[in-house]
Amino acid sequence: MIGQVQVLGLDRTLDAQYRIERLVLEHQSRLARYLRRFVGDRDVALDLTQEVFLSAYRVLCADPARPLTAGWLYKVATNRAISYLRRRKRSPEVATPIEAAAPFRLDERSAISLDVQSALAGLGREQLACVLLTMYAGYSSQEAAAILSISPEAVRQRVCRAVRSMRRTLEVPA
Amino acid sequence: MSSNHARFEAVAGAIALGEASPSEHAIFSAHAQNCSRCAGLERAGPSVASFVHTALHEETWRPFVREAVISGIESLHVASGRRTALWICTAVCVTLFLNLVLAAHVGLPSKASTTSLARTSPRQNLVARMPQVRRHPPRAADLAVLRATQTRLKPALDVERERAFQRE
Repeated sequence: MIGQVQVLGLDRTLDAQYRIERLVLEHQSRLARYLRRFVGDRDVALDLTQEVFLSAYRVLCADPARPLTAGWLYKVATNRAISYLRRRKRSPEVATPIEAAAPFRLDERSAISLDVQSALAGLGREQLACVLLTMYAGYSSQEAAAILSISPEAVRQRVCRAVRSMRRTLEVPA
Repeated sequence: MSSNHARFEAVAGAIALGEASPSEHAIFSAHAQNCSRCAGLERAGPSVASFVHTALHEETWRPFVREAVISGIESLHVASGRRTALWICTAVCVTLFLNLVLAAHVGLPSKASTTSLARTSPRQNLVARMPQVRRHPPRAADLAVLRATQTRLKPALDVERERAFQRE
């Protein structure tokens, strides 16, 4: 009986590891870039991405039948990024955004990329989440609403306010 | 007024995301002509969205977190193994402690404890460890047998004594 339980537990762990590896290979790039745009720091984005996949692994170990979609990953990633930004705002010594101090990296000298990053930096956390989920990750307002647990109207309103703020930074003609 | 404007903001957001219907476009255009806050949003929304989209396609960063995730999973296993071992050790220690406490105060008499054994002599130790034999009072039947034996033996003893006296 004990052996049977152990074998079942081992099966469950191996299955979870296999599924996590597939999820990582499929979503790691997009998720890490999304988080990088969110928090404005590559290293923090990598740490948060790792935490998201570890959360997914814990969930799969506890409930192997649960289907983990990309939406679930983005939901966890968004929550983690928001709590990180909240923590950073509360205590600035937690982590200083490296890219805020030195935003120019060799592989990111595209003017548009930098302009967009500085425009995003001026947004609030909720607006940032809505803009990134819809315009960056490519979700519809309905899907973004489901990920953020708010109404689609609230998502559209936040997008509108974010656009109003970003058009000044991006110098979009009226 | 503000809730009405929030409704138009939702429509402007839908336009920015390319989700608005032609009728919504028309309604918003009519509103934007009279609203200073919404003026130009109809064109600015899609432009901003295209900026963000372009930034996404220009991204050259190729993050790779597979190794980090796998090492994180391994450290999770190690941590959970340590936690289990700690629980088992705690449970064993608590069981042993409870057994000792029960044995010292309930199971054995206080004289037989290790400290009292060290202080007393070996004979006292032996007596203390010996099981207590309970002494029952003699039964009536046993007493009757005893008396009968005594009465039967008494004349024989008297004859023996008389013979010894005569020999002397």
